[in-house]
Amino acid sequence: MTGLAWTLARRDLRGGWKSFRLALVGLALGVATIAGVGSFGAGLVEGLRENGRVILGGDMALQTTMIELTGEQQAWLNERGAVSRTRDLNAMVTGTDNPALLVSLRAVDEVWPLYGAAELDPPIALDEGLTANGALVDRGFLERMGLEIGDSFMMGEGTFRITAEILNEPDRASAPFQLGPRVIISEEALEATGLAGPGSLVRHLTRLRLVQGEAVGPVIADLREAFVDAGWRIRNHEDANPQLRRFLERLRMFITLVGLAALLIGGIGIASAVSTYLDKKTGTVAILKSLGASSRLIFTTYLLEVAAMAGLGVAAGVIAGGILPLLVGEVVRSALPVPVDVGLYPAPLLLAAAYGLLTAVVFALLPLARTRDIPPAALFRERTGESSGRSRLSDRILVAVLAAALAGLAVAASDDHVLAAVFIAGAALALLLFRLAAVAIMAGARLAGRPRWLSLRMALAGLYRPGAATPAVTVAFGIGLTVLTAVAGVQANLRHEIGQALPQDAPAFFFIDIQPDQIDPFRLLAQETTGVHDVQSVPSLRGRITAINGVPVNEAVITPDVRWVVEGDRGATYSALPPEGSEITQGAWWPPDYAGPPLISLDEEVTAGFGVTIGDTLTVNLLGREITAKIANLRQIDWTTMGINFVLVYSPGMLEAAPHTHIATVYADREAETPLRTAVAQQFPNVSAIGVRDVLSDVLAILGRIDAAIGGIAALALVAGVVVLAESVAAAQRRRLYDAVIMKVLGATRGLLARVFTLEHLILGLSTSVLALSAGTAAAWAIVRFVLYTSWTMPWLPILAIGAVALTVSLTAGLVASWRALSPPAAPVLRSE
Amino acid sequence: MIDPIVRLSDITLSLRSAAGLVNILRGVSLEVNRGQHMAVVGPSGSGKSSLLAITAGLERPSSGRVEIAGQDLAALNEDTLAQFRGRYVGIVFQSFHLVPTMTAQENVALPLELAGEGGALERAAEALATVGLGARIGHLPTELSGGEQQRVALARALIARPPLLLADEPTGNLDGATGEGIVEMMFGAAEEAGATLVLVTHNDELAQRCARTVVMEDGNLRDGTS
Repeated sequence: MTGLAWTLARRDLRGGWKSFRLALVGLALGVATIAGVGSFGAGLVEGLRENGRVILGGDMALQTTMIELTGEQQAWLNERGAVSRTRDLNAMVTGTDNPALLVSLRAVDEVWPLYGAAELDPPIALDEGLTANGALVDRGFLERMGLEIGDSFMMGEGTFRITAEILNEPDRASAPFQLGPRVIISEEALEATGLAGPGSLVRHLTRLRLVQGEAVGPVIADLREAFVDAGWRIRNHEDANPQLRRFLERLRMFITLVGLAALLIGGIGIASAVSTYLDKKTGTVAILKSLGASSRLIFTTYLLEVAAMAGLGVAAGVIAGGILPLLVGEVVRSALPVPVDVGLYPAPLLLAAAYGLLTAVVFALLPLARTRDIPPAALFRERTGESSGRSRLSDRILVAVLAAALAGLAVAASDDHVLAAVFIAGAALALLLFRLAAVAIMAGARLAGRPRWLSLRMALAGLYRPGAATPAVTVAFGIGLTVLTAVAGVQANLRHEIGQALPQDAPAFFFIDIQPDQIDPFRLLAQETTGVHDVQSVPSLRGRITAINGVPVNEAVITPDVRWVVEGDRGATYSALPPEGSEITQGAWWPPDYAGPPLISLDEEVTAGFGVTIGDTLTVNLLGREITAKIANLRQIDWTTMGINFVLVYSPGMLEAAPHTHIATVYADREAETPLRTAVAQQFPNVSAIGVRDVLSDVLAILGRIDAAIGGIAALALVAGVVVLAESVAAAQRRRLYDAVIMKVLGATRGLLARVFTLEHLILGLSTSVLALSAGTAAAWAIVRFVLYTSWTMPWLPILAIGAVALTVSLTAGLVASWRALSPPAAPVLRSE
Repeated sequence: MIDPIVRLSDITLSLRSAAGLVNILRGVSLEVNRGQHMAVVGPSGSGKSSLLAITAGLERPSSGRVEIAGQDLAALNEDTLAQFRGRYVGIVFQSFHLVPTMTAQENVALPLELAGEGGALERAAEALATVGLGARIGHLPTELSGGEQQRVALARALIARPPLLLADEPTGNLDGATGEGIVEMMFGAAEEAGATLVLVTHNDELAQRCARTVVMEDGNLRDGTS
C-alpha cells in the first residue's frame, strides 16, 4: 500500500509544496539554529579535547596563590617529568609619555611552554626575546601605550625593552584572570622588579609534562595522597579549562533552547499549514474515497506528503546549520580564547534533524488524522456539522507520546537536565496559555455583540469565524514575543545591575599589593593629591575555604547563590573594629584588645547559604596553612557601595605576622584620577592601580557583545513567530477571499475592507502583545530573581519597544496578506466557487 | 427470476444543521434490476442526489437497508465499503470531481490502481482514446474544457467495468451539444458493458431515454414509468 500511497502523494504534491513554504521556513530556522550551534559546540569540545595539553601547558597543572611549592613538592614533580613554572600578577607600566597602565604580567621560566609554541612578531626565538630584560607584549599593550618594538618602559623597579609582539600565547586560555594587556618577561627579570614581594597577589602555576605514555589520572591521585593539605588547585589536560567549558556549554544549551522555541513556533506553523492544505484537499480525499481508497491509504498518502515537506525543511535547516560554522568559523574562532575544530559533526546534525522531524510529526498528526473522517458524501454537500471536529482518543494519545519523546530527547541531550526540563515545562505552559488566550479572544469578540459601526462589527466577526487566524497567530506570535521579551528583560536587568553598580560615591581606584611599610606613605600621598576625598585601607590576604563546620567543602551542602564563595580564593582581612559599610546582624563584635583563639566575622547571606550559625567553625587555607576559626558574628554587607569589604574578617592577633599586603580604595574626582595613578606608579612601582571606571566599562563592553549575540538568537524565535503569523494570516485571507469578493459585488469599497482588516489585526496584535509582554516579563522576573539572584527593575523601555515592533509587524502582516483579498477581480473567484 | 442489483428498503436520511434536524429521505424503498437504465427526477432539494449517494455507499442512511449486488452495505466498514465501491460502482458527478493535481490519464487510472490491478496507466490511455481524448492524456483538469473533463470522469467511472453506473446530473454543467455527446457515450458504454445505469437528472429528454423513471418529491419516491 505504501507504494501506491507514495504514487498518489507524488501526484498530489504537484505545486502543493508552495502551501508549505512559510511553514518550512519556520521549521528550517529552528533546525538550522540547533544544528549550527550543535556543530559549532562539537567543534569546540573537540578543539578543547585535542588541544587540552597545549591549553593547559602540560599534562597537569597546579595553581597556588601567593605561596610557592615547597622543595619537597618540587622534587616530587621533578621525578615524574618535565616541570615548568610561571607566575601571574598585575603590575603598573610607567616610564613613558602615557599615563601609567595596569597590565597582566606573566613571568616564565626557560622551559615554558611545555606544549605548543609561542608565536612572535618578529619571529625570534623565545629566549632571545626574553634575555636582557626583554619583554614580549600583545597588540593591546602597544596600542594603549603608543609604543613600538624596540621601545622601553618601566615596571616596578625594572626597565624593559619590547622585543616582540605576542601573536599567540598557547596556554593563555588557562591562565589566571588578570586585568589589562599582556606582558611576558623572564623569571629573573621579575625578581629584579621587586613586584613579587611577600604577600603580593601572585598566582603560581606549575605544569608537569609526564614521561611519554604515562596516564595523568594515577599521578594526580598519588599527588593528592602525598600532599593532603597542599591547598593547591589541580587541573588535568582532559579538562583544561573547566570554567570556560562550563560557560560555553551553558551558552550552547541556552541557544539550543531558544532554537527549540523557534522549532515549537515552526511546529505551530506546520499544524496551521497542514490544516489549510488538507482543507483544500477535502474534495480530493472525497473523490479518492468514492473511487475505493481506504482511510488508511488516504492517511498514509498525506502523511507521506507532510513527511516529504517536513523532510525538505529539516534538510534545508541541517544543511544551513552544518555549513554555517564552516562559513563563520574563522570569525568566531578568532574571538574565542580556545581553538575550535570547525568541521562537519554528524551527531549534532542528526539530533537537530530528529528534533525537526519529531516536531513536524507532533504538530501535523492531529490535522492529518482528521482526513480519515472526511466522508465521500462531501462531494455532494458541504458538511453539515455532523463531525464534532474532535480528534480520536488514540490519535491524541499518540501525539502525547511523541511530544513526550521530543521533550525527553531535549532533556537528555541537554547538559543541564533540570534547566532543560523547566524550559520545556515553561514552553508547554506557554502553549496552553496562549491557546486558552486565543479561545478567550474569540469568545470576547463573539460576546462583544454587534456594534453599530460596520467595520468594527466585521472585524470582530473575522476574529471568531471558522478558519480564523486567531488561534495560530495568538500562539505562534505570542510565544515568539514572549521569548524575546524574556531575554530582553533579563538582559536589561543585567545591564542595569552592572551599570548601577557604579554608585555616585564609588571609589575611583582600588590599589593592591601595598607592602606594610608602604601603607602610611601611600595614604599620605593619596590624601595630599588634589581632588582626593577619602582613602581607606585594610590588610589583605588570600585564602580558600576548605571546610565548613569540619565538613570538606566538596561534601558540604551549599546553596547555589553562595557557591562562588568556595570556588576559588577569597580575600580575607583582620580588624579590631567592625568594618565600615557593614551592619552586625547577629552576635557581637570582639573587644578591640581581643587576643584569644581565632574568631571570624562572616557575611550573613553566606552563613545562610552554608547552613551554619554563630559558634560553628570555618576552616580556611591561608598561605598554605589551614586555620580553623569560630564564627563570632554575622554582618550584612552592601556590596553595591564598592567599598572595601570582605566575606571573611578575622579577629586580630594571628594574621599580623603572616606575609600580607594592604589594599586601599581612594575616592577622588575624575580629574584627579590620572595624576593620582601616575604619582602612585612613580613612588610605589610595585603597587597596582585598578580603575573602577575602566573595569566597569570593560565588563559592559563584554556584556554588550554577549548581549548582541543572545539578542540576535532570541530574535530568531520572533522571526519564526512572524513567519507563522504571515502564513496563518495568508491562509485565513485565502479562506475569506470569497467573502471579500461578495462584499465588493454588493458595493463595499476597498477602503472599507482595508479598514476591517486593519481593525481585526490591530485587535489581534494588541491582545496577543499585551499577553506575551506580560508573560515574557514574568519569565524574566523569575529568571532574574531565582536563577541570577539579583534585584529586579522593570525594563519598561525594551518592553515598550518590543510592543511597538510587535504591533507594527502584526498590522503589516495583516495588511499585506489582506491586499490579496482586496485586489482580484470578482468574476474568476465567483466562477471557481 | 429477477435479480435486483440495487435494493433499498425503507431508507431515511436526516442530517443535523444549525437550524435543526433536516429530514432528507423519508422511508424510500427501491429495487433496480441488472442491466436496467433508470432515471431519478424531481425538483431541487427533493433528495435525488442523497438517494444516489446512499446507493453508492458514499453516505450511510439514518435507517433502512442498502443492498448492492446482494451485499448489505451496513455490514461493511468504511474501508471494505470503499473497496466494494471500487469494484461494483462507477460514479459520474455533475461537477466532474477530477483530482486537480493529476493528469487525465492518472485520474482515469486511479480506480485500477486502488484495486491493485496492473497496467493501469496503459488501460487509462486506451479508455481516454475511446472517449476521444487520446491526445490529451497528459493534461491536468484545469487544462481541459468542461466537456473534456466530463469525458475523463466518464472514462474513470467505467474503467473498472463496474456493474452499476451512477450519474448525478452528468450534463448539468455542460452546454447542449457537449452534453448530448456525453450522454451518447454514457449510454453506449453502459450498453456495451451490460451495466445498470441510475441517472439523476432534471432533463426530461434524458430521462425519457431510460426504460424506467422514478420521481423524488420531498424525500419520498414515486414510481413513474417502468
